[in-house]
Amino acid sequence: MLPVRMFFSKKGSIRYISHLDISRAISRALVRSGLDIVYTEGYNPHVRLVFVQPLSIFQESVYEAADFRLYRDEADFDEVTRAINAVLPEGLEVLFTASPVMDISDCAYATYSISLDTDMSDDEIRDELSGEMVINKKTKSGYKDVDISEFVKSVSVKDKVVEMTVCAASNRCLNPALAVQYLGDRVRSSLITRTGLYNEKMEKFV
Amino acid sequence: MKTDRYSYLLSRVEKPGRYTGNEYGETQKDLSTVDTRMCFCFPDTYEIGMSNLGMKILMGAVNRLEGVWCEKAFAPWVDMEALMRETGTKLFSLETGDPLTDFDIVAFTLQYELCYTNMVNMLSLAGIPFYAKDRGEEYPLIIAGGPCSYNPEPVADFIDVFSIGEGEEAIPELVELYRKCKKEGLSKKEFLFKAATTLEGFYVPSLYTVEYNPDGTIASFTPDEGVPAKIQKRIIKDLDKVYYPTDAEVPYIETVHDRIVMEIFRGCIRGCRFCQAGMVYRPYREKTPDVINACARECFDKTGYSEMSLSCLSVSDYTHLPELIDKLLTWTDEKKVSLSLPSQRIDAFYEELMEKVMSVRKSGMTFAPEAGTQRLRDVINKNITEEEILSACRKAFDGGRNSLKLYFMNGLPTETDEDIVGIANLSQSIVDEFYSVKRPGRKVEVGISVSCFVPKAFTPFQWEKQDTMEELRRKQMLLRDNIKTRKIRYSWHEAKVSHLEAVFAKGNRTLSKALVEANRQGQRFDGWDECFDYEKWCGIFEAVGIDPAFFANRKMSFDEILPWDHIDCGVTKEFLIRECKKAYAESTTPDCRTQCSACGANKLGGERKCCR
Repeated sequence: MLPVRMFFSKKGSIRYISHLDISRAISRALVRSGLDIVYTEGYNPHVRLVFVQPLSIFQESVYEAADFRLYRDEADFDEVTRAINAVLPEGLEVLFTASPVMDISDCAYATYSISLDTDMSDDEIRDELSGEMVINKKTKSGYKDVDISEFVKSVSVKDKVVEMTVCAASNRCLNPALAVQYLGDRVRSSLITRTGLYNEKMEKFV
Repeated sequence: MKTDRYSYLLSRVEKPGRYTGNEYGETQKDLSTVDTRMCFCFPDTYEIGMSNLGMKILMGAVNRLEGVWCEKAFAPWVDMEALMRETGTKLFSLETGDPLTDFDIVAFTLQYELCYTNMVNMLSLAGIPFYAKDRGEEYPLIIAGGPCSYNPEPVADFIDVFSIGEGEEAIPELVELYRKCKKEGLSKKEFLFKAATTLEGFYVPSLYTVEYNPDGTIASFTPDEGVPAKIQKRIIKDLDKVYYPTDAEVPYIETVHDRIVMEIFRGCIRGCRFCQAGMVYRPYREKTPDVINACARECFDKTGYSEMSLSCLSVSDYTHLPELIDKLLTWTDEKKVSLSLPSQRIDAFYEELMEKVMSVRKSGMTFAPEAGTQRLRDVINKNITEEEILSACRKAFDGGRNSLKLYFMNGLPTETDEDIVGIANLSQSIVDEFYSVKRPGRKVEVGISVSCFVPKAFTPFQWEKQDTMEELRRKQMLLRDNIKTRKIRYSWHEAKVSHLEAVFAKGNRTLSKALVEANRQGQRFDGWDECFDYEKWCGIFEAVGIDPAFFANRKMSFDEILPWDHIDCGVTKEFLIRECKKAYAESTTPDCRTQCSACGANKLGGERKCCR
């Protein structure tokens, strides 16, 4: 069996579709592609598809990664990419496919570009996002005050566009929408785009 | 849709995926090549509408026409509606996001009476006047179809033209006539007259005048000069040759029936006397296994669905079922597609068949005896004996099942308390059947779900009254008190909802004002518990001076002019009267395959049917 890592983008109105629904949409596309996709074993077989780091609803991305397998030992990855792109819904596009290099658990950080519709100046935004950021967050045991700044690695702001690097490991992860939430009513609307996935050493996740 | 024009709404609603369109397989066309725009409206939520096979068929059939683009719209859920009203956003289609007023034709499918308020509300949200007479040339043509159009009268004042019967050939004909008339510069009125007089199966309510007797019954129903007095429904003669959507849209968000749906036949041979579908979809016509199998494979290749269900009124009546299943199984197992067979009658080879089919996934099992005693089952012509029910259950238990679900109805004509207690007794016998053999470590659960009888147009019970709500509730409690074991799980339908359904099912044109008043009071989504408001409905009927009991709780005589008498669904009134009298005589009628009962539907023609 051949493990395949698929890198893809999610843009446009498909950002209103949740991770679970995207996962189902991609599974169905893999079936439509006619590729020899590997299914899970058991009573209820489904396409074996694992996402490296789920993307939240309302967010776009230019660098997503998901793993699946083929029932063979080698493949022309360009051919695989073409086959999937031919049957993907609009807004999803496979950038390339390849053999996985890193382990999924190596994913540690994600970069985001957040454009804000706000009257705040770049300096104000930077100041707000650079210190302690306590927000009231819904957790398993009710609402809790959490300081999310410990999950933020770096922040820069230019022309009301925030570039942020935040934790994106399976056990330590920040949804950047919370940072926007921290800015409160001063932000009328925002568009969040994930721009990359990285390992602990800030090497591109591949 | 391709534009971002509604982002101010989408980030604030519960399920934005209901309103974005862009599904895989969605039809997109270049507007510069389109001369006629249609919007197909399903007056319920996206999840319900996108599950509807009829919608897929009709949209596909219209979109095959060059120069015509059929888009879709649904009833926005209450959160979205509030935002739309707050922001002054008009109801829009999902493909282009254009408001409904930009379209030439707006088509509603009316699947159940309780969606009427949603249809009216969608017109309201679109800024389109409700009444056909109030809409000038600047507004879209409003058309409707679906099962409710067999009694179109409660919504007749709103609709320009109804399509009666199966629509996949009729609707494209209507669209083509519309284009021709538009090109010739004809008015809406002229077009409607042409539709009513030159096409088959179209009902234009404005061309008929209704007069009422002082007691509220209909005195006369008169067509305008040159307009047919009766509108005969359309059917597809050869199901093997008609268009079937194999590349239907694949929704992102989970819908109610999120799977491939393969139609295998239309109509029903059974003739249960309460069942509207069993009468109005006659004559029974089959599709051949090879055609279905090829079509199913194409659907799978184009959609990637992992589930498929066969669609029809009673799957085991299909003459080639084992052959079809074998053909499908040659590839579905390998492709990990699970098959399901809904709407089963209780019969002998049920369990074997299920075992074969359920090699991938095992789902629940339901039977519909409908009535608790043999006497009442004979009245409704269910044609099934207690022994047959018990033996089917025994087979299911022997096959390893521990739970069953049974459907019953209460309030059926001639029903007595004995029949109600009979439901409890039959359920108890099924439990006893389970324990008649030692089944170590296993426990049985029999679920019984009891709905309220709603008399429907074009059934032998169309003249019947519905029990009053008090009576229905008394019977529901009587049944509850007669269930002696926790192994029987009992649930029942809310009588108030069924009452409203009966009012509209048997209603006439005077009800349009109740629907307008309901909209004024903000009433919609009557099929949803969280929105249905009986107290409000009482106020609505009072405000417009309508007694709902006149429609729901009054028995009509055979010679009364029925609101739907101008519709010809194939089966004749003589047949329905004959069946009604047999019901009271507790006498059964054999299924169409055993013996033709001369219902009249065979005059419509059709290939591979069971009648001659």
